[in-house]
Amino acid sequence: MSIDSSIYPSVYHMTHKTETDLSIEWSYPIGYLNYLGNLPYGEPWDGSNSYIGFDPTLKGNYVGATKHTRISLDPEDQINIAVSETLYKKQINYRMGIYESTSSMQNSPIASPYPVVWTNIISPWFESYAENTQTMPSYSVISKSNINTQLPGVSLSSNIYYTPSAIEPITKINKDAILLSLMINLLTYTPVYDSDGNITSFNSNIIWIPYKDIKPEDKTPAGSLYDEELWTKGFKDTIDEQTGRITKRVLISTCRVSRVWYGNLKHNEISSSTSSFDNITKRLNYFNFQILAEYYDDDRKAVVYEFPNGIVFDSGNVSNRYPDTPWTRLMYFNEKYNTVVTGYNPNIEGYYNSSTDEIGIVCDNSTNNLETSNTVIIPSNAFSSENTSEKFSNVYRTRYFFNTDGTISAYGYFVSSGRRYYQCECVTKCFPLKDLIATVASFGLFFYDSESIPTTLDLSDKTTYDTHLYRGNFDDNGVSDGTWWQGDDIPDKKLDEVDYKPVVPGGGGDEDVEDNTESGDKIPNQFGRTVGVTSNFITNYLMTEGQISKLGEVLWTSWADDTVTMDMVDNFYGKFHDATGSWNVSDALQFIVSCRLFPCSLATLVNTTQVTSIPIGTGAFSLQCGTSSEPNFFIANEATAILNCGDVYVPRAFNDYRDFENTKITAYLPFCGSVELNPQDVVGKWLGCTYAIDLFDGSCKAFIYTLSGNDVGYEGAYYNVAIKQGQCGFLIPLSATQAGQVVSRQKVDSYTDGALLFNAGMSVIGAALESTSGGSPDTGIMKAISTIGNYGFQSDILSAQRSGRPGIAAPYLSGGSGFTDFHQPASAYIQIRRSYYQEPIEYEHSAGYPVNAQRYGNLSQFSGFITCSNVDISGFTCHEDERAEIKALLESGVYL
Amino acid sequence: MRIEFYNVNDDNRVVSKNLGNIIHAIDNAQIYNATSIMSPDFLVDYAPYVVNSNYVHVPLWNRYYYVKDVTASPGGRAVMHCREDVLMSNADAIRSLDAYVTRGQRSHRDGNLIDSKQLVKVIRDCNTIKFPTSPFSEQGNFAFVLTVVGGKR
Repeated sequence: MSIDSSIYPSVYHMTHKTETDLSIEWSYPIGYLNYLGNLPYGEPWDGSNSYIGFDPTLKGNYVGATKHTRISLDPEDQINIAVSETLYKKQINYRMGIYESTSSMQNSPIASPYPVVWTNIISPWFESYAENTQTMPSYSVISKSNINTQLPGVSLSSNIYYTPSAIEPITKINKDAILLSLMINLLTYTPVYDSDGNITSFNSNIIWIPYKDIKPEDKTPAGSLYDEELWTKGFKDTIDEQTGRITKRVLISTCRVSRVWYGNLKHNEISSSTSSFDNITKRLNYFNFQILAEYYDDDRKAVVYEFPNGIVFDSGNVSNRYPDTPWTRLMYFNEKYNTVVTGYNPNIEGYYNSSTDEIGIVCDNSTNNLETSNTVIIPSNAFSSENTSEKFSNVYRTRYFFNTDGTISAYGYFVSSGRRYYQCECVTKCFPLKDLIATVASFGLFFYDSESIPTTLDLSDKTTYDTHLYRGNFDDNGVSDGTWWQGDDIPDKKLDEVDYKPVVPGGGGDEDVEDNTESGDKIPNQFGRTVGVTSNFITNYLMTEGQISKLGEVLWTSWADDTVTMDMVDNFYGKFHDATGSWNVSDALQFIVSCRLFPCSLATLVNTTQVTSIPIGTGAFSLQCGTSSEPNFFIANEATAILNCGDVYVPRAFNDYRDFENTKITAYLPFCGSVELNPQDVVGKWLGCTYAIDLFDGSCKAFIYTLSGNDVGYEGAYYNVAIKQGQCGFLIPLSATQAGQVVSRQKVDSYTDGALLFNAGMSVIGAALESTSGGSPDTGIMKAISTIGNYGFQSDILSAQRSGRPGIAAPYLSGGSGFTDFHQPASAYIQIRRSYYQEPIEYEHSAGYPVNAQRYGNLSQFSGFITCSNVDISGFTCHEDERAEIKALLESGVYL
Repeated sequence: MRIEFYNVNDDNRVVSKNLGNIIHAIDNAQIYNATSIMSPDFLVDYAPYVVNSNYVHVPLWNRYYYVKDVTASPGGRAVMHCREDVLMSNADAIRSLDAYVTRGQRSHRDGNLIDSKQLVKVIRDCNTIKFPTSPFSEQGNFAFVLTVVGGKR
């Protein structure tokens, strides 16, 4: 633990690393403290609620509690955690914070020798539950003598200890919540004073309690922090169904809190009425926070877990309003959403009447404030002369106007449910808008200045950011400098690319690794190009299963019995007879090039023209195979169909060479098979997958290509990393080769086999389509193929292929065994197989890490174990043998 | 010849040894026979500091030596068989040397360089990432394409 004052004088920066403890890098700018500071002190607010906060500078070391809840660090070095019997028996939901106390439990002296304990404002609270029926002691104290666990990383003049078992008697059912609360951020600090008594810095520590210390048997009811899956599996993943990515993983063993938060800045609403403040709704200006924690699992993967607390996506009433002195800013707790409300400072106790009173923020679009709604209008009487700034000097920071010149005008008002309301204008007290944004930015969170931004925004999936979205800027140590990024300028747009500084015990990856960046011109695929069919030589018709069956019926079924009439024959085959008058049906089938089954819906993928019949040949004759329910056909005006499978992100796991070395990445592409991808091409990148299907021959081609961040969703941008040919259009054997012979041989009697064959084939295929998902080898496509085979199609196919009509594909090609592809996965996916690495103990000491070959420099820059290459020891004044030995030693490794 | 006796516990590969306190120093050491300056033998009085030290400094030569062995000789004399510690003897020059460093401490690590010394387990972690859209239906959504000659009217 140390204060790195060199980084930022007003920041106290804590780092703690041990083998057993978590690695922590945490810092707060002093502005943050000040902003949080000046929080209410004194007697806690009404016991039905609680608030949190602390004052590191002026008001004593106070964190907050209710009169019914107590957690304190007293001069005897004890942690006191208590819930009042009153509250407990009432079974009222209560919340607990931690604060330091003196004997009076308030107004601790500045020079208190005892460390201040405070919970971060985003710390979750634990609550009581209805099954709390046992009697609680009025107040209980956990003495130091009961403590059996010293938390790692604590190094204070007065250490803080915590033991779950010791707390159990008091808050057994809430222990997990306490633990998590502490885990998230339990900061201890001791002010350092100069000779004038001013605080100059803080000695600080962070105490962590691993989540693993929460025992399963201590699980709390639904909605609490206990998670069955977490305990049974040891980890819990949340997988994004769209991308297949693991978006969150909770691992019990290790965690650390990240500064990656996001929230939004909201404000109250006001009606369009200009007559009264009474129309102001109960929404206050507040920040919403959501905390995400980084974890490093056993595979040393940085993963993110979203704590189930502090989520606010809507307005809510504000509780725990507590007056304070002027010029202070308060943090208030939104009890409904477990969030902190900030930004008002009314010392309005004298005017504050009841729980129905409202305190709000007026935002004015005429002054270009943060409000985007046009309904926000400042009431005309907002600047009433009766309410001077002097009179309400204590409330003038109730509200802020965001002016067009970039400043903020503080403005306050107070309105009660009665007729009395007060307001004041303090536009002279302006301060730059950027100051407020900088303050917010120093939190290190994403935040919005418009409530029109969806608060459920998944930052990890965003590729472009709204201009109302901000994010604080940090240096390498996570210290805010008060600047911020806005909109698309926000770096690291995808959460995976957030600049983690992973510190992995015993492993590498603590250094930023440059991603392979794309460069050069984009060479996009031409998926948008239309491959039209402009001639009348060949036409593709999109047909339904019923229409195909009807086609078979038209061709054959009517011949299968004796009901066929010569009129029918003439109608159908009138154009197809030879010079002798013999029927020559096979010539009719010449005009059918193929009939293919595609495993996808094509109607929406290609441009089509609707027709009611299928003219063939010269068009003088049509195949009338429409059904009553499906009378129309669709001509495919394009020769190809383009199918997009979407984009996926291939995450990095180690953030170093191991992402690429000994990593195998395979893309499975339905109907095309698998193809191995080069990790260097795809890891850390977005990949797109698109199919191009040839409607004529049923072939398909799958493209896998990389996308840059801005191209996500843009089909075909950037470079192909794999192209795989396949077949997804399967021929349905019509068995018409012999049809002509059948018909010509015996106009009626001899057609039977062919008709049966076709219809049998269609029926079994139809059955197969219905049962494909069933997957039984006795049914479905396999059965169909088997059945078709039993009807002797193979020989027909061969003969047809041998016949080889020039210019027209053989019309009776087999569907072959390709139907088995239907049983394979229908979705394309990427499979990543990474090796596990075992880093030897004391690796840095005994072997060292590879150093950039560009690091040619003076050895005085190094320490510890090094090896050198091709050492040039020119200038050494020693003897030749000595020089040779020095050179050999440097190349084999020495300790500097 | 002056010899300063030390007891050093550092690994031989440490450039700058921690000498600790000098155990003893003598001014009457003699070179024993003709000897290389890199592996000299010194004739000294047999004394406890001779056998209790493992490292010596010879100021005259500005060199440090490991004591490889001590041979006791008649007459209260002993022969110290030494080997030069070229690292310590040239520590300043080595630290000021410019060189390509191929391996070093973590802070200088380049994660993009393959580390052949890392142990790789045979077991693998297998993750599957499905493309979000499946153009090929899993639920029996099929299409038929009938291709005919001519056809358009």
